[in-house]
Amino acid sequence: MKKLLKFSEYQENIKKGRLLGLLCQECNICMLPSQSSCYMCGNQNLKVKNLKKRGIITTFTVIHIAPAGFKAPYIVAIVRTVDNAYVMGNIIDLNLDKTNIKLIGRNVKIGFNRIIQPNNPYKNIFSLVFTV
Amino acid sequence: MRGVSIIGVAMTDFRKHHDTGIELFVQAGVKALKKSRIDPKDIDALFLGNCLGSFSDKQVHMAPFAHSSIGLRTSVPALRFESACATATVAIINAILLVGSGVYDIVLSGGTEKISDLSTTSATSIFAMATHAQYEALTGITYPGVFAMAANMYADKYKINLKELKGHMAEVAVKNHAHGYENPKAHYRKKITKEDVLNSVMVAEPLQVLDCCPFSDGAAAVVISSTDKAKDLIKNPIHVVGVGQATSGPLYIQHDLTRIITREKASKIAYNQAGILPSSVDICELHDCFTIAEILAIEGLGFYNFGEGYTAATNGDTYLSHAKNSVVNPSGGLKSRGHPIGATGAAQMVEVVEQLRNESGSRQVDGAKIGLIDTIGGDFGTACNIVLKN
Repeated sequence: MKKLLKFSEYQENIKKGRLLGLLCQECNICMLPSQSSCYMCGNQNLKVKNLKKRGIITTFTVIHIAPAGFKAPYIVAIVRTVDNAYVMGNIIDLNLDKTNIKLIGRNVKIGFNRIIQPNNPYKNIFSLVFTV
Repeated sequence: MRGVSIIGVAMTDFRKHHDTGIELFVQAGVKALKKSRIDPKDIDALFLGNCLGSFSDKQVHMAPFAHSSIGLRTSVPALRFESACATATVAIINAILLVGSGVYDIVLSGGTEKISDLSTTSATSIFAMATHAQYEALTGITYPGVFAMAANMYADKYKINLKELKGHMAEVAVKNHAHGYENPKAHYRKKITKEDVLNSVMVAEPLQVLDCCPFSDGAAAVVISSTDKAKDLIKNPIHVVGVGQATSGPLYIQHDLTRIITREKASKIAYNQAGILPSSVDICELHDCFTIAEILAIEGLGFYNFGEGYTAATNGDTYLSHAKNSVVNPSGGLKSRGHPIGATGAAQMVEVVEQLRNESGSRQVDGAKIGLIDTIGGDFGTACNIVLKN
């Protein structure tokens, strides 16, 4: 079985402004990352789908002690997209003093941010960012 | 599967050590062999857990060096296991399965970690490598961050005021430090107050430093034997009656972070094998890497209904001195005993075995007969449960 939507293909599409995921043709679940079977039902009948770049925050945190290469504080969140895929990214353009539990359930737009980390083995790649 | 028993256990102190990861494991391993009344020549295999040695010790292929240092026979295989924080438990489970299936009669297992020479930033970075490198780590997520997101989701899901939840989380830390105070091997033998926790430095909102387990060095070793052989070697073998391990993918596809599905699956398998209910467990060493983690664990293991476990420590229900059902983390848990990643599961087994043998001194849970080990690896991707009985 061919592995659909490899990381490189996912990243190449981000450069074109597209957020790609996989849609299970059996249980209708949308998912990232690349995989050969649906993680919910195990079916191998998956199709690449251009996901809508909107969703709601399911949870978040403000990181104060960061790993090397990141400057704290910053917000990490998980978002459920309108296509029902779950993705992890950073909430940007939000005053950190205004973060509270009420962020959960808020609508966000999904965008992309180029990663600049000298030690990262993957060059010229993007992560997801969310704007409230 | 034939009967499998634990015959000897030992651990180093958990604290900052100057010894190497291999030296620490050798110290624990040699003691465990002595307690098992066997010699190195009696061991059929070494299953060694180590998570971060490739970075912290600059050492790969660690198992053969530990093997030769302990003096095992050349014909004996030595393997290193890695499953993030569940590293040692996975090594032990594999040892149990191969002894149970008759491949080996006696296996030395356990784990070691030496991390304290790294800065907090380096250690945080290396720990975070257990998140998905392409889809999670690029966001700067950390392990406190993972459990912080679970805490926020818990407060939102069950409509608990976050300040109130943080108070109850702090009580988990107070309880585990009270237990660890009685444990001579614990990293932090210091009683703390709820106010200490709530006034400590913020790490990942809502988790503060005293909601988090420490970076520790240490090793723990266990000797696993067929029950037939165990009875000839020592008077009081502790029997393995249930083993469960479950696996899932990255964190963000797990949807509800308040329900660690891997733990629910693994513990169900272990309970079924043992023929027990959660209410039968007298003592439990569970994965309290963060205070919220203990709350999620006592619910996921079936000790409390979902959404109701958060007041357990506040109410005193999980304390050594007056536990309502199971005593939770009599050793002090990861929070106070410490968390040398690759050794943690083995240290949990050391505590449970000693409790079931009535060897725990001031921490002894009177009449403990059934003990449960619970270890989570990565962002909930691996869960292991082992039920032991005396």
